[in-house]
Amino acid sequence: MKRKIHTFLKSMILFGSIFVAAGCSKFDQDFSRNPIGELKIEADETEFNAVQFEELRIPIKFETPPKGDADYSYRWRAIAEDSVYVISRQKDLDITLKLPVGEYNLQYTIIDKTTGLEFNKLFQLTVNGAFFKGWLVSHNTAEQGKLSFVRADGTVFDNPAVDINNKVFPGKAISSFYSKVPYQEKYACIHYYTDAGIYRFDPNSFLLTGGTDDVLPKVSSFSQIADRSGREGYDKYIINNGELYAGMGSFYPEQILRPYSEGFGGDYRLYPAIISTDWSLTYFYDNKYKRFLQAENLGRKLLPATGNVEDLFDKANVGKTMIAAGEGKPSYYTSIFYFVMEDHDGRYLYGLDGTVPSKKQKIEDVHCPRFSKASSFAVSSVFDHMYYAVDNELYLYNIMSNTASLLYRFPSSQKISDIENDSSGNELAVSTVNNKVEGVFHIFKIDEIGHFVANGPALTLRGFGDIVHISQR
Amino acid sequence: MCMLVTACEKQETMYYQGEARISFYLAQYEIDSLNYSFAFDPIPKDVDTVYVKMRIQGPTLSRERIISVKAGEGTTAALGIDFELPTIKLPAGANVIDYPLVIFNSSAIKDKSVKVVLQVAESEDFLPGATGQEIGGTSAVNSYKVWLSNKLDKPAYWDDVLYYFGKFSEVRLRFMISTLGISDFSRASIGAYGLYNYPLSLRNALVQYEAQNGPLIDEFGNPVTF
Repeated sequence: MKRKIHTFLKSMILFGSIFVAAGCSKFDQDFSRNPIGELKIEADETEFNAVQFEELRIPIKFETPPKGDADYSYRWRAIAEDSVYVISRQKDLDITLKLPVGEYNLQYTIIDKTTGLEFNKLFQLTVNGAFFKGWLVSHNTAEQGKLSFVRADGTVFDNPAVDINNKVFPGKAISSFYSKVPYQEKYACIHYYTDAGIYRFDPNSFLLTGGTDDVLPKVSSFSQIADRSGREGYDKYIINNGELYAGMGSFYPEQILRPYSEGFGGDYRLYPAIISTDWSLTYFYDNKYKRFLQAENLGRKLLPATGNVEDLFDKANVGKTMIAAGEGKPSYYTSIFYFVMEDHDGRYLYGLDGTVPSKKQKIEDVHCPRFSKASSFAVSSVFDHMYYAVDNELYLYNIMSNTASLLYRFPSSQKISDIENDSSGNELAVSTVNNKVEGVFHIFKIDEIGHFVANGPALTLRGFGDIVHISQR
Repeated sequence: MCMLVTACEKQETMYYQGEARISFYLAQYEIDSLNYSFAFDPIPKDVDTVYVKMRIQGPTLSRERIISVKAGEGTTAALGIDFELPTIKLPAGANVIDYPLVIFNSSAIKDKSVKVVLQVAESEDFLPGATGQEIGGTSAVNSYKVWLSNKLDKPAYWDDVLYYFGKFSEVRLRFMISTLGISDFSRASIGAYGLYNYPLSLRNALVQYEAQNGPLIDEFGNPVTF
C-alpha cells in the first residue's frame, strides 16, 4: 500500500511537471519605445490684458518633433467661472476679442492628430471693456452737455454715449461719476447728471441702462452732486442740491440698481461730499448748521455726528463752511478725509481719520500762496498732500508742514475748472477752459515727492467744450 | 395551471353613477374661510369680488349648467346690502369654476365684521356634492365662510417688520397703505428694499401730513412716527 502511494505521488509530480512545462510558451512582446513628439509650447507672455472688440494676437512657438511629419490641430479655449468659449482653432491667436468682460484662463491646446495626444499651455486673460479705465469728462457747448471719455492710454472717445446708443441726451452737463459698490463690480454704472435729468450707462459699453426714474425718481432739479458708496459698500449715496439719497449696497447686491430712496428730509443743506471714513457709518457735512451729520449703515436717518470732548474739534459743532473735501491715505479699517473749511477769519484744513478728528490747522496765504482764492482741490491718496488751483495756477500743499508751492502755471487765458487725483495717486487730471468755451484736458504724472514729472503735463487733449467736471472711471 | 388561467378575470372600471353634484373645494392646506377687509385696498373700493373654488362630482357635459349658491345658516351679512350671490353657468366641458361672491363696502361693516356663509344650493343641474377628502388631498365642502369688514386687523407678519414700521395700530397701517399704495408689508412681499426705504418715504409723507393736519394720533392715543 505504501509503495502504491509512493508511485502515485511520483506520477503526479511527473505529470504536473509536464503540464507546467507545456503551459510555458514564448510571448513575443516589444518593449522598445519611440519618441511621441513631446512639444514645448512657448509664448513671449503668459498674462494678457486685452480690450473688448479690439485685436488680440498671441503668437506661439513650439519645437517640431524629431520625426517632423506630425499633423497638428489647434484650439484656444477661454475658460470663465461658468462658461467655456472656443475662440480660435488657429496656431496663433489673432482675433477680434468678443468675449464678455471678465477674467479667463486661456487654454491653448495643440493636438497631434496622429497620436491623439494633446499638449497644453495656460495663459491668463483679462478682458476689459473699451472704457475700462480713464476719465469721464463732462462739458458743455452752447448749453448742450456732452460726456467724453479719455481712456487711460490717452484714447479719446468724444461722445461715446451718443455714438453707441444712437440717441441724444439733452441737458446741460453738471457732472458724471463711476458709481460702484466695493466688490460688486458687475453692478457698477456711470451716472451722468445734466440739468434735464440723470442718464445711467453700463460702464463697459456705455449702453443706456436707465434714466432719472431709475435712479432718483421724483427729483427734477440737479446741482452740486456727490455720488459714491459708503466705505464698506453697505449703502451708496447721492447728494443733490443739499439733500441726501441712499441706494442699496453690498448686503443686497441684486438690488443695487434699484432706485435710490427718497431724500432723507431734514433741516440741513449738505455739502456735496460723501465722507466714507469709517466702516460702520458715513459722515456728511451740513453747511446750514456747520456740523457733521452721520448715517449708520442701512440707516435712513441723518443724525448729528457724535464724538468725544477731548477730540481736536467737535464734529457736531464745527462752525465753519465746508468748501472742499477729499479722501487721503486709506488704512485697512478707516480712511482719512481732509476738508477745506472757511469762516470770516480765513480758511482751514480739517482732517477726519475714521471717526476721530485728526487735523485742524489754519492755512495762511503767506505760507500757502493764494490759498484763500483757491477754487479747486484734490487730495492725494499717497502723500499727505493736497493740490489746489487758483485761476491758471496749480499748487502743491503739504499738509504736514502747512506750506505750499507753485507747481505749474497755464497760460493766463486758461482757467482751471477742475482737478482730480487718480486713485493710485500717480496722476493728476486737470481741466482748463478758455473763456468758458474751449476746454483742454491735461494729465500730469506725479513723481515720488508729489511734484509733476518733467514739470509739465504728460498729456494734453484739446477739443472739449466748457469742462465742468472730471472724474475717474 | 388550468386553475391559474381560470382565476384571471377582467376587472370592470367603476364610474360615478348618480346625480350631478357640485361642492366648494379646498387645497390640502387651505381652510374653509377667509377674511376680507376693504381697508387694505390702497384705492378705496365700493364693491369687490371674492372668488371661491368649486368642483363638480360626476361627468363633464357638452352644455352649460347652472350653479346656485345661497346664504347659509350663520350668515350675519345682509344679502343685497353687504353681498350678492349671483347664479352662474359652468361652461360646457368644465369641471371646476371660481364662484364670484360680490361684496359691498357698506356702512354695516364700517365698525364691525359680518359673515357670509356660502352654501351650495340645488339648481336644475346640480345637487350639493358629497363632502370629504379625496385621494389627491383636496377636500370637498358644501359651505364656505367669508368675513367682511372695513377694519385693519394686525397682520400676522407684523412682529417681523415691527422694527422697521413701529408698533401696530390701525391708524398707522391705514397711513402706510394710503401713502405707499400697497397693503402687504411682509418681508417676503417688500424685501430689504422696502424694509429700509419705505419707512423713509412714510416719514417724509408724515411730515407733509402733520404740516397740514397736526400730529397723526392712533387709536391708542399715541402719535404715529416712522
